[in-house]
Amino acid sequence: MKITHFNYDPTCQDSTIKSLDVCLKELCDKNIKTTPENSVYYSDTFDSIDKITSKYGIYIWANSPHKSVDKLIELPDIPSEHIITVIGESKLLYTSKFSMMLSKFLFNEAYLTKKQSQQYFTVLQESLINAIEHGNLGLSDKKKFSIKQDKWFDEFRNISEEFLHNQAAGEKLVVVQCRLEHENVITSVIDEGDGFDIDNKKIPEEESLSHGRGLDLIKGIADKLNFKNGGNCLEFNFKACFLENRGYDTELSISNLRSKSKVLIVDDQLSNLKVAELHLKSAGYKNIILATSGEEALEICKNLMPDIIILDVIMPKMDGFTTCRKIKQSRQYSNIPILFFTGLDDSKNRIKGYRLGAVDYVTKPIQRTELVARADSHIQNSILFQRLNENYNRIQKDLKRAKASQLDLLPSKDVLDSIQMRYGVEITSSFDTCTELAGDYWTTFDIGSGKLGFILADFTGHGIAASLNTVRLHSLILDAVKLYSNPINFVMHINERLKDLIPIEDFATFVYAILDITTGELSYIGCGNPPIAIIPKNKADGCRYLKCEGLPLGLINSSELTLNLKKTTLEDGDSIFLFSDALLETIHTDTGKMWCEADLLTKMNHMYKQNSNSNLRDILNMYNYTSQKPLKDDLTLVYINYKGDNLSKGLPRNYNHPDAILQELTG
Amino acid sequence: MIELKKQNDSHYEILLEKSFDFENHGDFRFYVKKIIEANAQYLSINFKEVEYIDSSALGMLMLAKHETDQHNCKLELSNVKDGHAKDVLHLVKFNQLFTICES
Repeated sequence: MKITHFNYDPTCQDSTIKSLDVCLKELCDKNIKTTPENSVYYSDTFDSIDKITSKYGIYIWANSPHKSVDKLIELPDIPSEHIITVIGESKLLYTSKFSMMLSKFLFNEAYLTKKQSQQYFTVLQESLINAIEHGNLGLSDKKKFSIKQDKWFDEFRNISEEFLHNQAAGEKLVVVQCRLEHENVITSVIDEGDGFDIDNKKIPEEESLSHGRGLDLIKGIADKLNFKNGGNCLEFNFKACFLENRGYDTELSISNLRSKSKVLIVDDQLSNLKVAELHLKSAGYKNIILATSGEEALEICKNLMPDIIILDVIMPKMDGFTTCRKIKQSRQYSNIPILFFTGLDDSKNRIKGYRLGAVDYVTKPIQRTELVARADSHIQNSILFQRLNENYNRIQKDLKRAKASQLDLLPSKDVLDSIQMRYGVEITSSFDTCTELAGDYWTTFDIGSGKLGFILADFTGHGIAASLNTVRLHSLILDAVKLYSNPINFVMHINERLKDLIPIEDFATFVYAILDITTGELSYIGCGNPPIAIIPKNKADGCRYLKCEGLPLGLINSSELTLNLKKTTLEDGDSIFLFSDALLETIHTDTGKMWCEADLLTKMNHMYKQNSNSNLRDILNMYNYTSQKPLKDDLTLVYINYKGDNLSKGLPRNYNHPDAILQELTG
Repeated sequence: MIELKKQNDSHYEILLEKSFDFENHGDFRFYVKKIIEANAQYLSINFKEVEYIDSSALGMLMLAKHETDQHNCKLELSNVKDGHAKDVLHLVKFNQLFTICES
């Protein structure tokens, strides 16, 4: 904890000491001890220095008088954990100067944003005027003026005159104390007057806040307002801007970084090491490790794993560049940010440093502000980068698992093999996603009585949100097992449930097809899906489409939905090809255009003309050959080859669906 | 970038670009919200430039329909020209849900 005293009491030496008493008592009440080691005293006039040092033993930093208040702001940097006190004479004239000085200081030190510092100025000035009006001047209730009064200016002048009279007596003072505590800038304005509630010596209640001039204003602007010491101390809070206000958590707060980070400084010049260490320590860095050679630095890395390394370039034996290269080559230490000490115009070495993996440089001779700022910034960046990596890896891992779960929703190889064995229907498929997760879904199931059901659905969008909808759909389909054989009711049911479950802008294009393998009849309902392609056994007949126009599911209530159940008959050896819209809508590098329906048909016919045994793999190869990658949409292809031979026609007649057997047994 | 145009106090137009897809999601939603807040009576979604739409775009249109229906604002898809966008709108039978004016 550092304590900084700004004296702005150019004339009243005795009262300065008196006010310092008040200030130190305040600190003492908070169990904060001021010692020559932790206190810095800045004074605008130094006539009183002897008295102060002899009484308190406080260390005097500045050694020449400052004529202008503004110059105080340019005094050496003050650590982040510190208390600032402003001791001032109760002159109205100085209230704005005080306030401006402190608000500028807090902005320059990056404790407050520009806007906050302007607000701080207003609040502090109001608080000082309050202290003067209700405290130092010792005004009675009758004399209290308000800006609401008609003749407020005259009142103000009278009070000013009275104030000046009191001031001439040199009696009472205002002390402003500003400290950074729990990421808050807390400012106390302590006066020696009668307090806010003159008659009862009580701290004003909430409803009596209008008692003081501008208290409402202060309350409105500051984050928090308290009264202490019987109304003689007004305390207001502003949230420090470099933490929560910038969206950082406390782990990334400057004070936390400085106190926890391990900084390794490597230089063969001991004096440089000591200067850098002193600067960093004065800023609050606690774990500073010094090394005088590259070899020593590498040893330290092995044992202590520093958070940042600041390296000198020229060193005997192993120079800075070699040390940097060795650290960056090690997998374990390669993420440690490295800064180089370089001369101001040493661009050659800087460039070399960057090429070897350094993140920044610190110019020599070492400037405290620059060194601390660069160390802060790169440690913070390193932590953020590490977190980003961790989050990225975690998300990738989650997505990988989610993708595996989504693939589990699709028919397994066992299911497809079992269908082929039982019905002689060969099903091949391809499921390609444009991101880890897809909005596409397909499935097949045994309806019984020699019928197979096929569903292909494509939800709006892709990625996580769309994939969740496919999980919903999968559950709905499993729950509606009794409706499989009644396609209209089945699709109506799915639509109604989706309408309730998914957001307004989400829906699914959908196709439900039932293949009766004993007759070759294919009945289907299309809901905005691309057409179903029928590939005839006799390829010379040419492929054809079955249109699937219709409103997608999940958009309107089933009572308003019109579904068309269409039918066609397949010949032995015909194939059914279901696909999602990505097949038609992907831009192809050969033409720079999308295939569209007609193009696909032409290409398929051409393909079968060349090789009548072409299958899904050939269609996929044809597509992959020219499609632009990465895919803009998920692509699902399902190729169903209806053998229609003895195997297909013979077995199903003997096959009974487990549900049918169960029904038979239970009656 | 899709554009929001004000024809008069109660008539607004969203002018789409060549590709109407997920990229336009944020802007489109924002414009629809603003138009509803402005108590528009008429919203025209201009397809003059559109050559491609994806399923997210259809979702956005449904959202616009939902919002305009709730606030008694008339919605129209205008200047839908021959090509992919028109094919997709017909495939999903959006002519049953929207007033579509073809160019």
